[in-house]
Amino acid sequence: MLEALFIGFATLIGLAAAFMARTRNLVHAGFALFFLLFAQAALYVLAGAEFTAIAQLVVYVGGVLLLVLYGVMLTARSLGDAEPQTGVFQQWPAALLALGLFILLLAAFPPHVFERTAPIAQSARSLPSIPHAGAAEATGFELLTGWLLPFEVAGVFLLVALIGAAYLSRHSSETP
Amino acid sequence: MTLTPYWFFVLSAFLFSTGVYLAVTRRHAVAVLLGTELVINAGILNLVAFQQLYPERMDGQMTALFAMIAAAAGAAVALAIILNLYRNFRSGNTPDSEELKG
Repeated sequence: MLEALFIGFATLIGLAAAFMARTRNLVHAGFALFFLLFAQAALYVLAGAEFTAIAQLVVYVGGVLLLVLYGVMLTARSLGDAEPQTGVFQQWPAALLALGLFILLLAAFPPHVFERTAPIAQSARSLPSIPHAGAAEATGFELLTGWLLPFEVAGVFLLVALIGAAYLSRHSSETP
Repeated sequence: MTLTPYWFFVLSAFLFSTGVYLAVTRRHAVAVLLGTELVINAGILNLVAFQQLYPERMDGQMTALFAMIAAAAGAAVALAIILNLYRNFRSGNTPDSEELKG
């Protein structure tokens, strides 16, 4: 059951990624990214990380994807299908590079590296007394105890990044 | 045949190489950003998958959350920079910004 679900969502991710690699329309690529991120959140649930799945939906599908689509709207010359919005260059060397990277990664980590690992469905249930690692309760507890300093630093970091982005995207005539 | 982290690893390797391909081939800066987002997502998928090897610890999932935060902040700043690129050169294509070209 888990395997069939994984194969289904992985196929969706593969199709969306292949479509993004093919299309020259940035809006279409953005919508393909929507399906990809959604299927990825489903895979996080399969891996037993529910909180990360929800964060993926809120941060990526709700935030980053929206930002990317705004970026397309603000910078593309035309949004229609008539002309390609982005050119491509050096496709074949890049395809060779990507294929080489894929093969290199698979060769560097052969399956027997993962042999000692328990199947995911069992390992997720291996802690009977406390909620398993992906549950929101365990995540919140961990965030406010062991990971408190990175949590606070991440908050300040986000504030700085947002102020910086707002400052950078001001109209240049307003800058002194 | 059971679901192991290796399945996630193969999928994330595919996502990674597709992202590299996108970031290298595209001319428009937003498309390059899309490619880097794919690469970051491949990394986060690996973090979540390998969390399952150590179910008693939460390091993988926490790192995944913070990587997401960093990626979101990075996307916001990158889009501000792309917007400035567009204002200065009237084009979102990276090869058009060649003022510093010797």
